[in-house]
Amino acid sequence: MVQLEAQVVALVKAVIIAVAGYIIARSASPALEKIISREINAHIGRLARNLTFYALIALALLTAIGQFIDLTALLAAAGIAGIAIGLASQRSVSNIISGLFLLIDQPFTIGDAVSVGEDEGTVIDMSLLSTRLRTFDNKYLRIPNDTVAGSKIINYTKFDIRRVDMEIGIAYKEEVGKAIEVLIEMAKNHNEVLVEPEPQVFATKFSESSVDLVVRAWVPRTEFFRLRSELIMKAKKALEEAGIEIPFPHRTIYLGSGEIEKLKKQ
Amino acid sequence: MHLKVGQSTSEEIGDKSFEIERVSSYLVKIANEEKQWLSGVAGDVEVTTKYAFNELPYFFRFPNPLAAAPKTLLKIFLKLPLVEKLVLISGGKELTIHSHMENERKIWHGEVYKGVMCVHVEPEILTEPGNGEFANLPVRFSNKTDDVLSIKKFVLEPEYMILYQGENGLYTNKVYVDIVGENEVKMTYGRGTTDKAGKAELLIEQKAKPQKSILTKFTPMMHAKYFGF
Repeated sequence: MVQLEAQVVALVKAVIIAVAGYIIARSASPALEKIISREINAHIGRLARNLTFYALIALALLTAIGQFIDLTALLAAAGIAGIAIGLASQRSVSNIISGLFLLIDQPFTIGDAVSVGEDEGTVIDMSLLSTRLRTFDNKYLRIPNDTVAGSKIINYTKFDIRRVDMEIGIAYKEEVGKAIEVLIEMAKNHNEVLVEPEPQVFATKFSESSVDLVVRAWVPRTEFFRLRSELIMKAKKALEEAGIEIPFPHRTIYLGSGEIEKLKKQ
Repeated sequence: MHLKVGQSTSEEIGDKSFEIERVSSYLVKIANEEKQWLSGVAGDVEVTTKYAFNELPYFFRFPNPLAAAPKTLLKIFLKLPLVEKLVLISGGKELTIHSHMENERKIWHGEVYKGVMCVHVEPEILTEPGNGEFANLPVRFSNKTDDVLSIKKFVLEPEYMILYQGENGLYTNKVYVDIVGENEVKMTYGRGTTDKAGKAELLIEQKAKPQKSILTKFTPMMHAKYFGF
């Protein structure tokens, strides 16, 4: 009877510990996330939240189990099981280590628009195991952290301004200096192109059908795509108005004497 | 203009015109060429235009450097473009319907990877204060060194600026620009304005208390220039 009573008391204690542990984990982890997000960044905040939550839950469960059985034997068994699980979960461990490296390296944070290898999107979450993106065409993409760490990463939102590079070919008969003048005026007169760094235009190479020029104009990052499209339209219009031809690829074929007559007869 | 129920008014700001109508005690309808929307109001409703400083710092870039002889003080006025705002005032609160600044162009101050977005101002020097949709900015350029120095750029922080309604136009507080090197200026923001403003009435107070003096360096975009980027 006494033993049953003791077991009931232990069970009640265990339940209280488990419930209290859960409540503490649920409330402490978001609070910690809030503080770390404010002080460091959202990325580390989210990770700290997950780590704290699972650590507190594990601690509460172990303490609750400790009410019934001796934990020394359990921990020894857990050690052996840990080795077995560790061997079976090498990929996960690799992901966790990569996640930690990404955390230190910080090539991006939550909310950044990035390109990871072949994929592009906005970072919506990063855990110890994986990084989640919302692709620009609104798909949910989960990339394991070891893949992210081993890929080429481009962060489109790291800096506030970006350079629009626009390649334009003009016909060989045109005066290159005049075309450069027209394009630089076009870029300088565009209201949304930054005054400084100043827009630049260079002649870059002799192509098959054109002399190639490149226009470089700096714009606010948030307006990059819209302004790139606008600058392309304005450049075409400016060159047309100045009577400068933008050629399409063409080939001149020279035929030997009498060849045209032969072709006509055929 | 104070709007009563059923009354309407037309207002033009920049290149846009707005039709504002008080449709009921609690609603005002605002419309322009592109769209229309409703705004909740309470009590007395007033539609008015106000001047404000741009939220971005003002980046003054002289087309030709302004040379300052050794140990000299140059007192001039510069035109400071202001933002014109169409506002609806109701229940002690302001709702900005539209804001406009003439020839607003943005310019980057700093390196391409680290800097601040500013609004570009091509300095227009006035020997005497003017009256228009701008503020007269009393600037004192000083060169305390023994060398001839020139100034090409300086940046004005809007939160340290004060706007006054003078007797013959709008004025800001005095700004002291100490040229300390070819690409280095020390800015000091005064509190008062010039005597030429006459009896000046305060319109906009400083948003922040400035430091005693602010040193600004204009570093050329080294890596970009080196590689021709």
